[in-house]
Amino acid sequence: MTKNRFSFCKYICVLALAFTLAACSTNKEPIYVGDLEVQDPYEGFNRGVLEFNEGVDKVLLEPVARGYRAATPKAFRYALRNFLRNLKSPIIIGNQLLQGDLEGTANSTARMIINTLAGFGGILDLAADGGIEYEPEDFGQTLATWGVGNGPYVVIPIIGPSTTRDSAGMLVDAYVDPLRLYLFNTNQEGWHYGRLGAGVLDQREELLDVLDDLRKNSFDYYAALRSAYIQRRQALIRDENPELTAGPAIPDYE
Amino acid sequence: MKNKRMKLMSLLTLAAVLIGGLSLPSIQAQALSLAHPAPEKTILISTGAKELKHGAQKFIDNMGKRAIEFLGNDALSQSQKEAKFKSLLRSSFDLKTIGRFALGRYWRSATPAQQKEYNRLFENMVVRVYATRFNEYSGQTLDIGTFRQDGAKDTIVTSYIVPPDGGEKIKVDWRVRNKNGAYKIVDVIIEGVSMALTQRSDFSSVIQRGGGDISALLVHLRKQQ
Repeated sequence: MTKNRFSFCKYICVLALAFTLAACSTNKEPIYVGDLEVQDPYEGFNRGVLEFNEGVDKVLLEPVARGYRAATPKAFRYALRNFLRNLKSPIIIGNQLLQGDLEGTANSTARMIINTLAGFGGILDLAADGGIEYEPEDFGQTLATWGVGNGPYVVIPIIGPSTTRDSAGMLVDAYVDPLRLYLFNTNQEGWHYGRLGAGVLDQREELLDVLDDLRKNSFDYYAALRSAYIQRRQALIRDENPELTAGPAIPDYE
Repeated sequence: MKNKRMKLMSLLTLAAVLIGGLSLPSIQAQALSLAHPAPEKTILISTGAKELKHGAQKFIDNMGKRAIEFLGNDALSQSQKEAKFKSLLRSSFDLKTIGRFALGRYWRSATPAQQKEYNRLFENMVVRVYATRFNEYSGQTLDIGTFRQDGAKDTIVTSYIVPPDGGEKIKVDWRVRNKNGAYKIVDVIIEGVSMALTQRSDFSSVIQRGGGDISALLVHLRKQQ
């Protein structure tokens, strides 16, 4: 366990150092995604990381996700996805509380209780069938509702697109996750890593078509992915409120 | 230590089974009644179709129905479907406006000849991209949701692509513009990601990295044809 924590710290330090070094060589036009200005001072470095990630994806993640899709029935994949989402409930509820979103807190709590008890430990999403839909929340979104901006855009090795705010949020969520703490305190780290692995597999499978489409239909995949990531996060921060998510205003050119 | 933990776990399991067993029927009944809310019964009396109040909603609904009609028609060949789909796209989308938005401020610095070529290449690209997307059609339906006005001319129509097998639906918002009484789509927003804006980000990066000249983008567009 101590060894784990040490190597994790080392990983973060190396990343931080790399980003600092990369920042020394930039001076360019501001990037806008709609009305939002996106800082990408590490673009050169980020592009390198994306290229590395694409390589890993091509030889490992994507083939495994495709194999998973081919080898399992849809019902199984939905069950696993529901189960993994249910495990995230404590983190989601905690973040909704911190955001002052009482309705969301009530919904997520109801979801956790219904799906855990009546949905066989969360493999059935009965709550969604009943109209209480899953709402992903994380500490990055919480920081955003507190007024913290995106900060520089970063591409993290293996994990992919993020911003400094969102990656800090991710670390906080991972650190305080009660399930992780429980598993670590009871010497069941194996289950924790199993859950992480299953999460990666599920998410990569979910994104197969979306990323395929974006790769195929963009000329500069890096720029398109950056734009899509920022927009998607913005929609999540606004809880997909239809009043606020309508894309950019499009001028009338005539 | 281990024994104690085992005992605790079995106790917890027992408690869970008990609580679960006792509350399962009632919660499940509740969840099921939530899943099938009462208003459905009234549908039997009414026509069965959801009432669409706004013209833009009807426009999107209509387009979806027409697309599904021929996409799901096995009597048509793939190329027939594609031809029908392309003409539906050209009549429903305001491709000139979308293309101009995607080019952003570089429109002004382009020569009239470049603008003309860009328009032609962009339209072909969008039609081809959407045609390949819809080639993957496998029985989904388009469920029309709410609408809201945005500015004097635009209406945002929310809809959901519903897969036939009970999978997760995808939220699609359409920015529909009323142009002299005729509706045209000027943006498609999938799960919060605007296609026009993503394209604009892509294009402007290509142009910037190509030295700020639109011809860098035209090279890419020509290759795609």
